[in-house]
Amino acid sequence: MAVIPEDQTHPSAASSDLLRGARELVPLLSRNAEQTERDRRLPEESVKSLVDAGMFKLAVPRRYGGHEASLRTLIDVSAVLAEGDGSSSWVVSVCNSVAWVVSLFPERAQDEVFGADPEAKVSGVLTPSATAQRVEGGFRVSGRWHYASGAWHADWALIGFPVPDSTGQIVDQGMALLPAVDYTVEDTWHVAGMRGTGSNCVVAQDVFVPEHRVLSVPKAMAGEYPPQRSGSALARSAFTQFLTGAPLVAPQLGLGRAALELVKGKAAEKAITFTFFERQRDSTAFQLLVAEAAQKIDTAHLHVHRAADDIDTAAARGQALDPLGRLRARSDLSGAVGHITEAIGILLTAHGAGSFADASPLQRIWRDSGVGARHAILQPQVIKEMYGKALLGVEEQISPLV
Amino acid sequence: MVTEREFKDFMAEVCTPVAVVTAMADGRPHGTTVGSLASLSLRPPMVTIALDHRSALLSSVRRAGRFGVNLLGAGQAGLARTFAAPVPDRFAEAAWYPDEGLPRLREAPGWLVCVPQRLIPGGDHVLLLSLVTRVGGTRAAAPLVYGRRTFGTHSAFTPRPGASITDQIAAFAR
Repeated sequence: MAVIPEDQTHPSAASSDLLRGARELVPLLSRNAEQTERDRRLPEESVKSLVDAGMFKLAVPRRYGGHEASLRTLIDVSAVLAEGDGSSSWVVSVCNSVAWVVSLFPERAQDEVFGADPEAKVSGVLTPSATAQRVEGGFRVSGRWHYASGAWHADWALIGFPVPDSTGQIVDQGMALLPAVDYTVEDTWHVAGMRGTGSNCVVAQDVFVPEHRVLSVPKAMAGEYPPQRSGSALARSAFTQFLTGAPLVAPQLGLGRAALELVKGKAAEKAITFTFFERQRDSTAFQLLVAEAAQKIDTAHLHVHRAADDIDTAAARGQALDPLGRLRARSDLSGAVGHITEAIGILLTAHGAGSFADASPLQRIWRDSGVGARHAILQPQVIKEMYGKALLGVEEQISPLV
Repeated sequence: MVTEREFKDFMAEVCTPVAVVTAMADGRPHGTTVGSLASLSLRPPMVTIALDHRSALLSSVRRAGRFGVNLLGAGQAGLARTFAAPVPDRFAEAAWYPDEGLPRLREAPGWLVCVPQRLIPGGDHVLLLSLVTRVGGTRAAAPLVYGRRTFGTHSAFTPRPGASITDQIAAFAR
């Protein structure tokens, strides 16, 4: 079904098992897709099946029973899930990316999250929309964090906050782990696509966060992770790129593939209105559209896989990607999403107005992909500006996310 | 024995702020560039400046009993040169307006109104110990700095590859 066979260049028993497990879930996720968006949350049946297949522990460290999969595998597995349902893929990959962030925390924090429950699901929002005071042994934090994808199902939340010193001066940007008992989830996610992700608002009021459950965001973005026991290569991956690739880009690949398969599948039975073509597949115009869409989806895969391989390879060598390499990866990831958006646009045109029928899964794919593609971290023009500056040696920095 | 050359070469290595001190006398604006602005006292707020004991500006300040300090910003080296050069009408080349009756340069990012309390002669200059009666300006531009006979600004103020933590947090919270 896939345009490019997943993990062709990185065959490993573990990753092929995970891919097989994901592929087996596609029919179920696809069947539940309509209910997922109607309920604006993953049905329990979907969550249970994903948990049983180990999909929520793809990035959990091995010492807790997780798969500690490479970014490449994480992307390929999430993309397969998106062939069934975009929201389900998004929730799985967000929780896995955040699980990866947890693996950068001090061991004591990791023990509290995954030592207690290897299946623990963690949602996350890095936005420091909070206030905090330094107190004995940690911080007291209050805030509201929007777009916490997967918050309905999560046992923990990773949240951002401005880190004060004892005089109240802001000295760092932090992220902290809160157990579910410390926060509430407000139902605020009412949007056109990715409706089932439940990307709601996490609210906490004056909760205590011990020091060991706090990590510096600038340090993480610079690759300065405190050494952890696992010594895993995965834990040295480029931060921004890892968090962009898995949750935000991977679902797009699967959505693009699903759209192409759907349009190809109907081409033998669907006519072209106001023409003599009884079957779309016989029209050269249609053939060209399909080829163009497929080529864009292929391009997206090639770029995403290059970025993932760059990130995985550097991590395996224990090296940090240099800023130009990090920006090339960001450009690859953001550009890939643009290719998918264009491909889906072409497929909607090729398929015809029926694409937009409520009964057609294509309109959900269109909405899911369209909404996901506009995530602020993917902004194509901003990333091109950053990449262009880096290529030209212009030092001006327009964003902390390099 | 210290030669003038030795002394000047040494002092060229001492970075100073750049300000244009102004006064009004006989209905005309007077002003000169100084590198001698320094903080003296917090309570009350006081600064010192040193002026050439023969300068026209010093006699204007003596008569008016007040003077203005225009703190220049990065990019205003031209203005600093104008007010240091022997040109007949320095104010013709600058945008200015009277503020509390003192000539204020329109684009200078910092502004003080000062009243001299004591005038202390020192060699060929006079040190003015002065009370600050008003602080103004946007301070939007980074300060102009003079050192090694060159105008510039502190490198930390030039476009930075990295942003401050509060800038970063703001970028994340937008």
